Amino acid sequence: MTNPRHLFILLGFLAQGLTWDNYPFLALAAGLWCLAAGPFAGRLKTTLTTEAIALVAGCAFSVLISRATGRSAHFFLGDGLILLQLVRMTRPLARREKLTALVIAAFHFAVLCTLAPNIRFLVLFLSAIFFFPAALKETLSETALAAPERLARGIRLFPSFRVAFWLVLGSAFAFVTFPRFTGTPFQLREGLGDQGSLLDTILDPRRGGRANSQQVLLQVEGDHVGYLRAFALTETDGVVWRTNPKAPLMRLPYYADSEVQGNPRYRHRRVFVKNALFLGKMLPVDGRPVSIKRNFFEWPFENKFSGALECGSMWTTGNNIYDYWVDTQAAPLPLSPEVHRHLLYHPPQSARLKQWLAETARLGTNDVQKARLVELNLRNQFTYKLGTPDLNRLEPVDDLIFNRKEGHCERFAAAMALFLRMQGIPSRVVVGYVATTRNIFTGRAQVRFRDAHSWTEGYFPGQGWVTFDATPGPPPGGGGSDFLDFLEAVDFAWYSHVVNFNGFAQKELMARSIRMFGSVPASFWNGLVWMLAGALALAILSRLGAIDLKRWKKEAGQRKDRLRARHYYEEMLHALEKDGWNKAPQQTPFEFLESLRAQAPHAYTDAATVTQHFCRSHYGEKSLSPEEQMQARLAVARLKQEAETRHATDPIAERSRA
Amino acid sequence: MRTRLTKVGKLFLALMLMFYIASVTSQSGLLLLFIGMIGGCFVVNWFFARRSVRSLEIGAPKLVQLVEGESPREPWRVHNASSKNAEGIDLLHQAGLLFRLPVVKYGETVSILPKLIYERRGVYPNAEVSLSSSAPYGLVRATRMLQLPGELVVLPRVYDAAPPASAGLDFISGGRFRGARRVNHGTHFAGVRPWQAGDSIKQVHWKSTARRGDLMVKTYDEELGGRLSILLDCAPGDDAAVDNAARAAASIGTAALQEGHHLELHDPSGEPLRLAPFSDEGELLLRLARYKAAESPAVLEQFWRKSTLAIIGTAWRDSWRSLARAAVEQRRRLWIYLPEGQGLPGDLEVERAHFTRAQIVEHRPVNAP
Repeated sequence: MTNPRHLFILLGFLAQGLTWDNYPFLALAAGLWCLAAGPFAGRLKTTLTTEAIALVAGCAFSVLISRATGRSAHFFLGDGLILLQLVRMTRPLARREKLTALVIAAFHFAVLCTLAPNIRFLVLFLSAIFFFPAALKETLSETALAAPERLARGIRLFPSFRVAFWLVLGSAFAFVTFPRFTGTPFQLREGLGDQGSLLDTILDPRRGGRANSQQVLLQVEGDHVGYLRAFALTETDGVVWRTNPKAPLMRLPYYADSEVQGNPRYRHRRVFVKNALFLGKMLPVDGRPVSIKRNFFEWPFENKFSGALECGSMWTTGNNIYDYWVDTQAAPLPLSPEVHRHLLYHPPQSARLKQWLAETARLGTNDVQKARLVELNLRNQFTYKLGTPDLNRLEPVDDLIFNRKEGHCERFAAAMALFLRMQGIPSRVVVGYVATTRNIFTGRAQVRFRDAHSWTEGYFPGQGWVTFDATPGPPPGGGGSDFLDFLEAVDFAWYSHVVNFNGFAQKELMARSIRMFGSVPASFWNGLVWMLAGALALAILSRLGAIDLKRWKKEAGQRKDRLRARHYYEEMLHALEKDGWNKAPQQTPFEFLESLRAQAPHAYTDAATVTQHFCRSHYGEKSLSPEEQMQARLAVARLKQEAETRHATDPIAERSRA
Repeated sequence: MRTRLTKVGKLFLALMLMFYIASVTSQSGLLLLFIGMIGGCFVVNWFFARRSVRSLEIGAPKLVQLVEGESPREPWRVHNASSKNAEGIDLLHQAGLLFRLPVVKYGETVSILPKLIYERRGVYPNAEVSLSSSAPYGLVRATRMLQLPGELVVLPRVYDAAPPASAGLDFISGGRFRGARRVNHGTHFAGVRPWQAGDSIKQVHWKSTARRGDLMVKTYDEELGGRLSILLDCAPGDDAAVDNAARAAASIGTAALQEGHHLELHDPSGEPLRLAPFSDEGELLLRLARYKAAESPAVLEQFWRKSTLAIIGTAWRDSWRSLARAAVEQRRRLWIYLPEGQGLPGDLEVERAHFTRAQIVEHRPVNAP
């Protein structure tokens, strides 16, 4: 199981397993790998036919399971290759087959790079830094580094930390400098506009299953972050609410930066978006912005009917951020007759419902109060529940109010909007997010998929648009921990700075680097040019033979060695001096050593080691090998320790020293 | 020093390119990290392989002679003079891999006997030995030509063969052929004759002297040796056929020498090699080991006046026709040796023989079909 090729294959399995978006398959693949690499390794005899059958069976199995579970079947070949790899692990492979296995595992790993750009990638990538080179070396070892000799001589397969560090640097270099095509003007023109918002798949669990997903979508800097509206449903036939595709778009007001920045009248928000794809073309905001700064979308327009901010196109950059300012003292905007009429439309409702509405709003003295009474009734008398069965398609609101009395937020928001329209109040169903938690490390309000919500807006003359949240109970949410917050902060930073690092971010980084270099004083560049010219001249002279750089380097090394040997020798003399043995100036090193043999036999061996190394290096001009240096260092350490011990216990030595 | 990509390196380079193209359509650029990691392996491999190759000092035996199908018996010395281990070392000769060392630790000296079996005759100069390493990942291979002094000579293998019938017989002590004359020295006792002035006392045959009462001396059969001239004239191109021809020349020449014939060898290298009977065939084999196929226009006057001519080649050459005609006119015996399956023109009345890799398979006398 310690075979690095098998370990890299396991990484490939895990990478491919992540395409299933669940852990049972991952566990199954890992379990099968354990069997193939453990008890069955090299014990079975499989033929090419067996392997072909395994590949086809794996593909077929993948397609069947994908159909049954509703997963995309695009990855069937990768799943089939897992089975092939497993079968091949049970028999000894030729070098070419090993290379094939390595290439397949590399393809599996590439899938991880494209489909799992989260923090899990980092863990697997760091493992690959060690496993992939080791697997390559293991493949080579069959020929150049013959296996038995390799083991006998202790050749290590796994790269050292220093090599791993260089590999990480190489990866980072390629990542930052390789020209990339994501985030090019081509992509900007295409935009992400047609993909719509992923909110569709969040609100109704039956359509996507992202409800209650912990995944962070965006983070908002600012206090009291309210309802972040993304878009609104304005059209209804009494059963389904829809957006109006023909609704005209209006220009947003634009206030100069100098007017809004630092002005307490304008509430500032800074939004960090993990992945622009999740937004579609809609911009989540809590209020009507009067100024926007952004780096990943075109200037947005306001939908006349829904009030949603829609962008012409949106792309992704290294760090998707937008700032906006909302006027807290803005006067309510008038509603045009056309929109007013449009937002009042609703099909006729049953007498029973009308009676229930009238009864509920009976105590209200004005329209707003009446609406609030209805909102309160819905919140208090009904139950929030995800995944409830479909309502009666003929009279769905009647069914909700009188029979079911439970549902998810979109149902209550739609019912509330209908009730407002029945009372002559223009209304719309708003879809967006409600931030419920803050990250303790960044202090930003976190919006997760599970924070997607739907509520209602009603228009009241003189007050403008008023928000009603008729969904019973608190908004859905879950507990968290500091550790989870930390992981989320890391994950968000990883996403913002690495996953979203595309062509735009690359250009921005280059522009910033050029600016930085531009700010360096000219004298530095002049110095650098002279230095480079000097180095070039030196290289040419060395090439032509005028200067022998190798000899110079060798001599420098020898000088260094001599100094080192002298240092050890002096340390030795110092330690012996402490012990009461002084070298007379006229004595040669070996004469002094001979004198020690008779007078201090306990120190003789170590002194001999250091003296020999010293003489060999200092007089013989030989280099000291690392082992010899280590020997000398240890000998000096022993002599010192011995001198210390004797010094502490021997009063005669103390006296002689005095 | 030369550094180039190995096949595995090319494979992974193609893989990197494929991943790079895939990264165009990918949402994130994380594939570039993986590409960078593979690229990093290339760089590390480049650096380590060059360092391994640069750090070794090789000591080779100055002159080695061996016969085809043998491996050298003298060890090579490898010393790692650097402060780092050298891994995956290959020492390559023209004929193939001399030896492979998984690792040579720093400061270590290793003596190793090459395991390479030299299948072809020839001269393998040590100057063409190269040291290479693709460690640790096998993506990039660094190679250094060592420019060592000395050479390794592979002599052609000699097999049992009968030399062509010799002409120009001449007295030679120990010669295989017996002449009609009786001589005083030899190995085959022929009889006795009365003593004559000048005869040595050592030649006296005492038993017959005692029997007849006159001094009688021993006589022996005259021992004769012939002369064989070999012209090795192969067309360049088919190396295996040239080697077979050289092997045939070596075998025929060695057999002729052992039978007590004079031998001369003509090849394109210039001066003919002339050897006395029973001389060591080493010189002949050395000459044949160095033989290189080339055009060598030969005329009959170059050869001994009385000798059997043996032309050995890889295929019939028109330049031999005039030589054959001249030989026939001078009533000299001419043999032509060709590889099995090669034919001669029908109008040529010469003796012919065919050889394979390891034997002379067929003799055909003159006028044989």
